[in-house]
Amino acid sequence: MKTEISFLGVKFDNPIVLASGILGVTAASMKRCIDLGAGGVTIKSLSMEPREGHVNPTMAGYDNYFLNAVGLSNPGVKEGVKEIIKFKKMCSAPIIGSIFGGSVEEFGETAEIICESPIDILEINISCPNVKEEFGSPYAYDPKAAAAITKKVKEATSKHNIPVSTKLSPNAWNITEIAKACKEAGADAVTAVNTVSGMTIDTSFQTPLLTNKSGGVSGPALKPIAVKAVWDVYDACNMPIIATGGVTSGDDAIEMMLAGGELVGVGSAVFWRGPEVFKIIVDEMKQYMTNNNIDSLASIIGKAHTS
Amino acid sequence: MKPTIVKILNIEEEAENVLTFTLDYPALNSRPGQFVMLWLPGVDMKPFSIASDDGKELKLSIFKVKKFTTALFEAKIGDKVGVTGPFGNPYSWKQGAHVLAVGGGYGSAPLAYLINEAKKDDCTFDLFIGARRKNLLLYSNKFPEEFTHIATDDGSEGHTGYVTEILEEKIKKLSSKDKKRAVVYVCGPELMEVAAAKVSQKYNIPSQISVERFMKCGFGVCGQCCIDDTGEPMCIQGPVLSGEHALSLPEFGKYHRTKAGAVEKY
Repeated sequence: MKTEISFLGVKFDNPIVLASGILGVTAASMKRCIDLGAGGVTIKSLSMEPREGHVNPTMAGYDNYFLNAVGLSNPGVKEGVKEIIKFKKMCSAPIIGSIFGGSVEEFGETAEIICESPIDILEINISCPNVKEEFGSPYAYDPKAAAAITKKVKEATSKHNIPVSTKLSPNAWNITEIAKACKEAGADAVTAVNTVSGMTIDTSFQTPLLTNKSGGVSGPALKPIAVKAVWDVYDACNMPIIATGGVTSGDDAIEMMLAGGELVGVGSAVFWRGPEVFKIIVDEMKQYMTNNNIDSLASIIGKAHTS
Repeated sequence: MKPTIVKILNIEEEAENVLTFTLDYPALNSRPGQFVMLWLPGVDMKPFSIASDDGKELKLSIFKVKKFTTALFEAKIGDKVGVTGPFGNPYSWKQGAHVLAVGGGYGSAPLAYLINEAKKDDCTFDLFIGARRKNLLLYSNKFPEEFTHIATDDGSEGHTGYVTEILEEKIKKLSSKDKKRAVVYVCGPELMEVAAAKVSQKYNIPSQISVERFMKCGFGVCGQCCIDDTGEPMCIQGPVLSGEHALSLPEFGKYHRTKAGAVEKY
């Protein structure tokens, strides 16, 4: 039974990767996800300067959804690079870098720095829904802006032969247009999707729960939205996809691959099923393979489109 | 993980700049060493160790530090706060153990809860409290004098020097029978915790240390409190670790991470 996936030339033992923003603050926390069964990890998004992020509460978990507005806290790309180097000393699993910035130039500068570290792939986070006051609407809502950033980052990555995946927003009504624009600008893949905008109001205090008021919804509530986004991008663009959004079980991960995902991002599932969720999902996928006489997971990518 | 909104039933002064808040929280089902997150809408949400939970009321002894605690100190009886938790790995003990509880600064809060619960299991105890000066001592009058041992940096009360020094003196005086049933429980500034863990190790007494790291969520998702080199989140795997495990971590007593996630040395 083959769970290995070769994605943009990088070999993953299994398609389940830690999604950016959950747990991935330090080398040790990412290594722990590998030990607990993940095929690869994505570091929490890094920026040029350190950021403390939003004031708590920044996260809340419910039965069917998770809401966060962490506000892109990170120690800055120079400190982040140290964690990436340390991770690569601790294990050989692939690591996906992740960057964001306030301008096209800043994305470029940050990419230049992170490309000096041993990342296998670089994800461009243009889709965080929780920093609107500071940065304006995400670049992921506008094909021109998304393309400009992708192109700028590619200038840095191509010198190091590091493939790039641009992370898309489910809030964009024209997600396939954005994906196409990114592809034309040189994106090797897209990550679909980031969280969708949402809000929870505490009825006792009669005020939004998150200090940022608005947040990003992940978990089961996001899954059908993510499946549709992956499906549409696969149909429209014929490009590799890291399918992310609401995956908490092996069956969810299989669904994402059938829609067209080559890798499957898992993040807030940790809230419901603990950090062991990576191995649990991979085991459930193996069970599916046995039950359905599937020899290699790679064979089911996009398969729902042909039936 | 929806916050439970509860009323403040009582507020009393405990020490200089320390207030104990009694909250109307039935059936929290916490254990000593665990913590809750306290939410003041529009201000912040912060972790606090539990000072007492009798199944009806939750008590938190809180030291005034910055913005959040300043806002909390302005709260009045009858005001509401949000609570999530209880979170984290608690202290544990065996029936009839001898509890050597070592609190530095404001670390006595969870230790008082531990002592009161362990007493129900026929445990005996000694409480060691250290502070910079007399007025900052937390819970110095909560338990009988014969079991309360005090150290201050300036000698304004008790032994002049470190709390770990009076811990070591006491351990030396323990009968071999008492030594066998002794466990050291520690909560306080990290360098004091390292010293206490080492003293325990020196006399072959097991220890349990409360290791604090910057926390956002409290339930193992944000990754902010993961410790090197195991990557264990301290909000779940901690805060209470065995002294041996804590001493084996390259981060313990050496550095921690800031709110942004950057390494900061002690």
